Amino acid sequence: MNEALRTLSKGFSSVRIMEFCGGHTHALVRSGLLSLLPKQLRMIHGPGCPVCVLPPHHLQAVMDLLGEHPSLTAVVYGDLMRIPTLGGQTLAQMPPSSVKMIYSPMEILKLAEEHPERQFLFLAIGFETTAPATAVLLKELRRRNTKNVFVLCLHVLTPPAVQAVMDSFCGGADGTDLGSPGDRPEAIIGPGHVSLVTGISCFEAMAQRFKIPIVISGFEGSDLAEAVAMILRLLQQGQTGVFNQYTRALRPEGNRQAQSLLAEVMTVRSSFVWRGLGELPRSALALNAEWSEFDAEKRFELKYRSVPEHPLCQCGAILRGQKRPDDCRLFNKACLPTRPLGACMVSSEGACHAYLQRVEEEART
Amino acid sequence: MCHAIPVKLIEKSGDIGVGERGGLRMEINLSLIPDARVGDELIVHVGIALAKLEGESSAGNSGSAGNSNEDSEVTGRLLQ
Repeated sequence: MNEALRTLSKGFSSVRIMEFCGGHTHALVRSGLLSLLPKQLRMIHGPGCPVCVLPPHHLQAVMDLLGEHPSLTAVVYGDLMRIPTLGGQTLAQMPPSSVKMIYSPMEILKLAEEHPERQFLFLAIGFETTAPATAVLLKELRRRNTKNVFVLCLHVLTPPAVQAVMDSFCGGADGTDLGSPGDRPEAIIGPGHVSLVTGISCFEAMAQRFKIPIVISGFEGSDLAEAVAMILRLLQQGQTGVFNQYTRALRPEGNRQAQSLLAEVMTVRSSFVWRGLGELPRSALALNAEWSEFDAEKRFELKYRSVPEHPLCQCGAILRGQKRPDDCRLFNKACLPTRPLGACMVSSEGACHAYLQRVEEEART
Repeated sequence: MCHAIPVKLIEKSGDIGVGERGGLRMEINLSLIPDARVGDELIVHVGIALAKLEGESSAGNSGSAGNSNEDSEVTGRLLQ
């Protein structure tokens, strides 16, 4: 496989490819492909890690709320448990009655039925892949006439984030750590599981705007190798547009059922602040007015406080693809999965967490 | 978070199914793939089926880049 990529790479002095998804970063490392790629191929790791891009002030607001409401339980996906907030406090340190970790939102239905005396606040995070699960939960809450579950909808959208990263290579408002247009990715490996929901046409405008090929890929090492090969061929031919490597699962139109459900339940926020990318217009979802009975933002007064990051933490620049995890002085020293200082080390999809696996692998060989 | 896995549907009752992967069973919500049938390979994310796999099976694929028959097939495709 590596030989095949080497053959295709001949004729290129350098190629910069951004994989958007943290899941792709993880698969590149886990499969060994990242180390095997020809030297002229440079992978730029994108911000597609939902936990990494969530500003910690949301978690802080929920933790403050738990302090004010003893009968309230926060329900979260596992990766959120260890995100540090003010004073390094995490949800994992809260009393067990205050926080429940779930794999699927459907588990909340049982929790709510078994504990009618408690209220449950679901931190609904994730990209378009995860938003439909929140919408399915909401429909079921209404069908069952459940009154003790509230959803803090913090789902985010992929295309504005991809665009923000691409734009940041032209210089941005804050002027720090920004790459130059010459460093901008020449191709993108697009998000396979997001696209199962959205379809692939939502990336077409970006491909045309930046005149690049975007290849939507599956998550096996062999998928990614094939996606890289497709990109090299497309670059050789000077082709731009959106292409589908993940044909065994991905229909170009996505999941229409999920799209309808999202349109019924959610609405696009006018703007949303992302960790590392700043405030992006129309980049996140909220519950629409028809579903306000379940909306935690309507039910509770969430008070937002600033949560400063560690001064040496490079998560922001790493999420913009402008630094690598091993450029950070904290990486694998002060910042480790057992005591993470930045979100990119917490989540298994975070680039720092993925790179640590690479370091450990290299140490073994 | 965007991690989704291929799972074989082995039981179905309305919008709820039971999936199996690597000997482990899990409940799956099928409301977004209403035409799913027992025997289908589904892509499941946080307990919700999002898509059906067509053709080649991926359930149980380890994802290793260097040691499967799939890889030799892919190498062939890469050079086409």
